[in-house]
Amino acid sequence: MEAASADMEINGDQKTLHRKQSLYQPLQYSQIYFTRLHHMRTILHSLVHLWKPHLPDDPVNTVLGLEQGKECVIVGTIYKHMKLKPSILEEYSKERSAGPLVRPHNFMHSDDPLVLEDESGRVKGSGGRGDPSIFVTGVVAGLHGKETGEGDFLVLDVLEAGLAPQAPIPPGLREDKYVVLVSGLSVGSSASNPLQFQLLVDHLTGHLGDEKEQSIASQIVRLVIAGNSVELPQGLLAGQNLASKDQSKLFEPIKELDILLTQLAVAMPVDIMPGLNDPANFALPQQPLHRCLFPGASAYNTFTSCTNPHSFELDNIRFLGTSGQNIDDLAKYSDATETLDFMGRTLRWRHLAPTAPNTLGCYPFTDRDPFLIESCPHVYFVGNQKNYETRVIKGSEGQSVRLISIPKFSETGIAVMVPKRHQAPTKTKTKGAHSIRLRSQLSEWGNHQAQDR
Amino acid sequence: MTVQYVMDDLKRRSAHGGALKIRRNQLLFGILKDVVDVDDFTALINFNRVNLSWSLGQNSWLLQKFVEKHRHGLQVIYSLSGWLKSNPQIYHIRLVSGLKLEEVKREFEDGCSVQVYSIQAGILKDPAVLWSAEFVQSEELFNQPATFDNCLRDNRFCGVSNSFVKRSVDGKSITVTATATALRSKSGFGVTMLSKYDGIIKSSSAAFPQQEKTQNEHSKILPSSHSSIVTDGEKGNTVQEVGAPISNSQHGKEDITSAHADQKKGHIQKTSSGRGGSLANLWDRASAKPQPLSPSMETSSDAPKTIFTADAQICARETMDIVSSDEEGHNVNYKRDSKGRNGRKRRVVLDSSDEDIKDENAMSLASPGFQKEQLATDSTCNAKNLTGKGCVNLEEQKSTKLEIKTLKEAGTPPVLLPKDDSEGALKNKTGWVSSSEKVQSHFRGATDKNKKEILPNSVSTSPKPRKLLKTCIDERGREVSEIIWEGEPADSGANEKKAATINGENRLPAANKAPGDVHSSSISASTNILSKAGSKKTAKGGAKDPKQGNILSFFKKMLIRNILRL
Repeated sequence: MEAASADMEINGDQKTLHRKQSLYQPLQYSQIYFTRLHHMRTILHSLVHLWKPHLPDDPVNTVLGLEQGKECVIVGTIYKHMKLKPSILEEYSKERSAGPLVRPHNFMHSDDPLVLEDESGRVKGSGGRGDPSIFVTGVVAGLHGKETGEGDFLVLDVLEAGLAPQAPIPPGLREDKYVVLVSGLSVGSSASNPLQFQLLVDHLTGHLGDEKEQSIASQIVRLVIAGNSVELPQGLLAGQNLASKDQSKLFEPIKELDILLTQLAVAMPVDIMPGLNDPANFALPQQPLHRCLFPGASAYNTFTSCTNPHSFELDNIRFLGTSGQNIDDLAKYSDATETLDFMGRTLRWRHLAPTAPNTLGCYPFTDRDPFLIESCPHVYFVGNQKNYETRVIKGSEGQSVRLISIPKFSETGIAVMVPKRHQAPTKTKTKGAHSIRLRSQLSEWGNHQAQDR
Repeated sequence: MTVQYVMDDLKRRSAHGGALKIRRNQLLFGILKDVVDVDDFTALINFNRVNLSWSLGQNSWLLQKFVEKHRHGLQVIYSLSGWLKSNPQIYHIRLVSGLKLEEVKREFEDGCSVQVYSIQAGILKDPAVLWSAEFVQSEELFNQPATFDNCLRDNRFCGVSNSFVKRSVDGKSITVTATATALRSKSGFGVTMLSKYDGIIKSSSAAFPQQEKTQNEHSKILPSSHSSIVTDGEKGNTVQEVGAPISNSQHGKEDITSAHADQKKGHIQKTSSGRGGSLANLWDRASAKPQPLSPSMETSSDAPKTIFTADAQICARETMDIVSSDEEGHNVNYKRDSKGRNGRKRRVVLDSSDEDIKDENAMSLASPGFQKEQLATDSTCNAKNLTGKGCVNLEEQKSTKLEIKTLKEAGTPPVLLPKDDSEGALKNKTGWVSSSEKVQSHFRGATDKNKKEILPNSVSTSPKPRKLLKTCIDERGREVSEIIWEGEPADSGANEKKAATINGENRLPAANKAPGDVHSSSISASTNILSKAGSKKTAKGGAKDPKQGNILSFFKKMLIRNILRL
């Protein structure tokens, strides 16, 4: 992600911006797929012999060079043909009503076939192996099988790249340092409870509680806010000129967030990532929220407005995370029992956002794919999810990654404390990842008040 | 009862209390009682409000004592925090009313933290009042001028040390002084934090160098009455609360030299501090080595242990012991003074003396009068400071000097220069000028038409009286360039005839006679264009020249602005 970070600085220099704008017109998204395939094919080629030692030398074939009945491996980009995927062209189609009904927020269908594509052509996969519900368009994988008489490719096995190489964790790390992850603060939203966030701020900054609680707060070395921090009143954003009164109403949530961020930044390093609802650009990688939005907090050296996806290192422990768009998009076009499954897949595919640029907004990079995971992180988090989940997955080469799904704070009141050591959580309460749940107990309090009266 | 009223009341009582030797706690209890006794159910005291209003730091004990003393007629909201019995992986923080405290406490594992969150006279109709009361107060502090250091901005009542935090104000970075902790963070923790954030620190100090000077200036101009309030042992406390040490001119000089030394090195880093140097040295050390915790940061008793061997729990126990030893000892928690080189304490120590309260209020509550005074001193000292700084910069950086000259010659008011308080800003400023000049020159060279239109503008933008260059051919067939004052009636007969070329002898004197504020080089370089422009203008008629020039200058400005924006 180092390279990705460099790529994300699109708006950094005025001259650069000007140049990019002038080049923007002829840019095509095909370059991203080309680069992705080129990069991943090198990796997959090197792994084919390990996976399939029984195959003859050089079993990798192109789609064009397939021979009927000959067992081989083809490497390419998966295209998933989805019947239910909305298309703008369907509006003009005569057979509009012929398709089956779409389930809310998921466009999967049981008959969706997988198609593998490389530079030479594409071939439709068939057979029981390679469940189409797992894969999405844009994933680069290898298919082991043979061509059938019907022109399809009978898939015997699917080869994924697996977890990327991981830097070893230096020994002797102390366990008493925590990184707090929180997402979906939604300041300004009618659904969010500002008292909850205030309690969190008081807890993290060491204002709340006795010495024991403050000792917990003192072990927090960083706070990462993973997107959707503010919720602007959408009614005002209709593209019309705003009256001064409306302008202040529009800015009010941001100012409120700034006040709270100031209290946080004065106590610890704070990284704020943009999210889907934040005043940032839409296409991934999202650029950092502008510092002028936070005049109070940005005065501190501890305040960092960063990109989405965000990658950082603490004591050689590598953190990588997004504000959730990549996983939300996977949930639309593939299926899994829980969020952590999606996250594990992206790591095994070595790609953070495989659905970009197909169904996920993405800047048209020409020379590289910034979402390729070249080195495996130690902690991988995704914000704005429904529930708090965590799990450690292991790789074939001893890699170990803690996956964390961060729930929306405004809905659950849960923040996640991650120890810098990422081993499996133990029952000991100070070890392992755990959550902080903040409840202001408003409803019960209300009842109690009613009873008293 | 408004907060302001309570504050005033506190000040009034503390003034009397100084004479009557009333203990502070009793005084505060009285005020709390007054607030709560009012038949206004919205009157609410939460722990942060006590923090912010009365600058008392860790005060849960105060509210706790108050609740124990005045149980009747009080509604108390507690904050419970601890691990849940049902799910040991969840650290739960919860607000409960006093009546439900025991019931909810059973859900927590033993040893959960119970703290009085707020007290109020009656049951709150809307629990949002809990938040809004606190937020309004935070907003007030947030809206104060950026130069003013309040408890929101330096986290002075925080229980956790965070010495690495810096804040930039008007291009200068200020080390946040909230290092007085009830609980020491672990030594390893601190080391890692400081070493890990070197990059952030360096970049920020590069962006906002030389904060110390302003700090020193603040302390110089602070009214002497404040220092007279504090006792001998606590000299400097008041000043440090607002982020400015008692210092002398020597400190300022040191800062200048050190800043320039850094400047020469190419990377500006946090320089030695006027606050006795403890924080700054700590910082420097932190940047240089991964052992940032300076002994000066610690109390004399536990400094070596804390640095190298003790962990946070030991520290916590130590501090807890201190706390439990004496009721007044709650303040000992915050007695983390830096027994550094100057022996100045880093935090105000609250003890039973009423002077202290008064002192605290005077500084932390930031009464309007004081603020104004503070602001006034800020502005004056900034002006002094910056003027001096600008001079130093001019002396040291020749290239900068040259560009500043250019700036002056281009007609920019020299008053602008002292506004560049930091070196970075100065560079930016000059950078802007040079870039604008480039743009302008590029613009001039773009097309002939542009040349003809712009150059009259350079004349028109020059200070009055304006001169216009007019060229004509006299009776002998020679070119004659005349300089005509704008107010004078133009010689229409002479203007009817134009020349395609111009005599060099006539050209140069014309250029030399141009107004002094116009950049000489630009004039000499573009004399030819000037003459052409003049001839074109004369063709259109001299009477329209002044207005046309003004309009063109407007377009030119807009065009340059647009180019700069791009």
